[in-house]
Amino acid sequence: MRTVAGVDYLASLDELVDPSRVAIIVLNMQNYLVSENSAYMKAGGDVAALTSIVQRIKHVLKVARELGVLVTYGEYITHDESNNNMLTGPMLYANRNTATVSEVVAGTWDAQTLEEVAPTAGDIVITHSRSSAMYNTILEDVLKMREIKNLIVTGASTDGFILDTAVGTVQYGYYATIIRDCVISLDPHAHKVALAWMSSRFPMFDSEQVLAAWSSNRGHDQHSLTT
Amino acid sequence: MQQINGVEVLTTVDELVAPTQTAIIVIDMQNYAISAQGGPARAGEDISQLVAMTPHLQRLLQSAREAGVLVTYAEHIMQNSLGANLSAAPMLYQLQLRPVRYVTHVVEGTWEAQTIDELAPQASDIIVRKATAHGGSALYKTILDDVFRLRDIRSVIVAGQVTDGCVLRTAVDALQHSYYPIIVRECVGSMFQKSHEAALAWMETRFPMFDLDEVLTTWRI
Repeated sequence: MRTVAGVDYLASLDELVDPSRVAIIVLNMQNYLVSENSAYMKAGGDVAALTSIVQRIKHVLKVARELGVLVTYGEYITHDESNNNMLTGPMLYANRNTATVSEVVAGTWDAQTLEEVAPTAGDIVITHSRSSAMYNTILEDVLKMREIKNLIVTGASTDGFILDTAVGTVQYGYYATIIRDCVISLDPHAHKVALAWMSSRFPMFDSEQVLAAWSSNRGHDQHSLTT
Repeated sequence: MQQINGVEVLTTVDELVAPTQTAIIVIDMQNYAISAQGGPARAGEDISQLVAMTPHLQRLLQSAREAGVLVTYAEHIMQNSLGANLSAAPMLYQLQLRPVRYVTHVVEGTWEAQTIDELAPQASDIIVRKATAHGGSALYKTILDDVFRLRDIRSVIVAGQVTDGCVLRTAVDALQHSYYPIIVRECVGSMFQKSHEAALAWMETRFPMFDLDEVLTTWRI
């Protein structure tokens, strides 16, 4: 904890990822984007990079669940279950050089999170149609109810939902923490510049650092359980 | 105009800054930041880019007013006029990511909190105040979104400082509210060159970004 201008803020890794006040969100790791034959594959994405990120997220989620950390998901849809189009011109501007973007209809296989990192009992899943998973969803209410202070942001895309959700999370008064090796993008340049900006504003760690912090925390728990 | 998945997408500068459907937000161009007597300059921060961009913003605002573009201001405060501290802990974390010479302590209603004379608001402009508790967005829990909707605004030119802080954060928030966030390159600036450049590089991948002359030419026609 440090104090600036009379306000205390969480400063260290241990404080930020303390299981009692942290939640994690997995964004956009959905079949339409990252499964076999998905948009990522068709765009010539780096399969090895994707595979290792999926494995890392899977491992982080496993440890998070063992520690009782709240696990949440943001699943992006472009169409609701009645097939209403939720896309907006301002969001599509970044796709102006393409004729079409992937349509993701709520409730379909495309919209579901990849099986390997899929939600399990007790997780929170929200659907969103804007680039921030905090905007007009119940995510902020969930964080408030659970007395969460910090949201760890993982998934895709670094330069899209990850960055925009991190910005949105801080607006609502929560810390947003990026796990550098658990975020991915179709666009290597955009991924790089987004990380460059986020590293000037947000706590950013490698998954190993977060796991190590959690592991020392688990040591305390086990000690208290055995005595 | 382009159709993507059945949705109209504005793509040309003429469409994106059409005067009756465009607003400008001038962000944090206040005495505390831009003046040599303000806190950052006195603490030794490099404000040269902020000073140098001021004439560009003057040209943008003059031309905007002539063309009938809505001009709005967001002014940063850290304390209200009664002395209550309005800073938010998650926003303070970033201070440990760079050498900090200055921590803002702008108090509502003081000289430091006013927009600089060169860019001063005029009759019928809109002014909102934002604290760090707004997470750096001029649209978060202020009246601006309502004003924009009443005026059928489609595009919001986000100008002022700092590029890598309130400008980027306001642009991201404007996108959530379904406005086109527009950046005019000469009209944003920062005290932190590296993150200014990173922020511009990222924004260029997402948002319409123009040179000042492109916008002024469009408005003159």
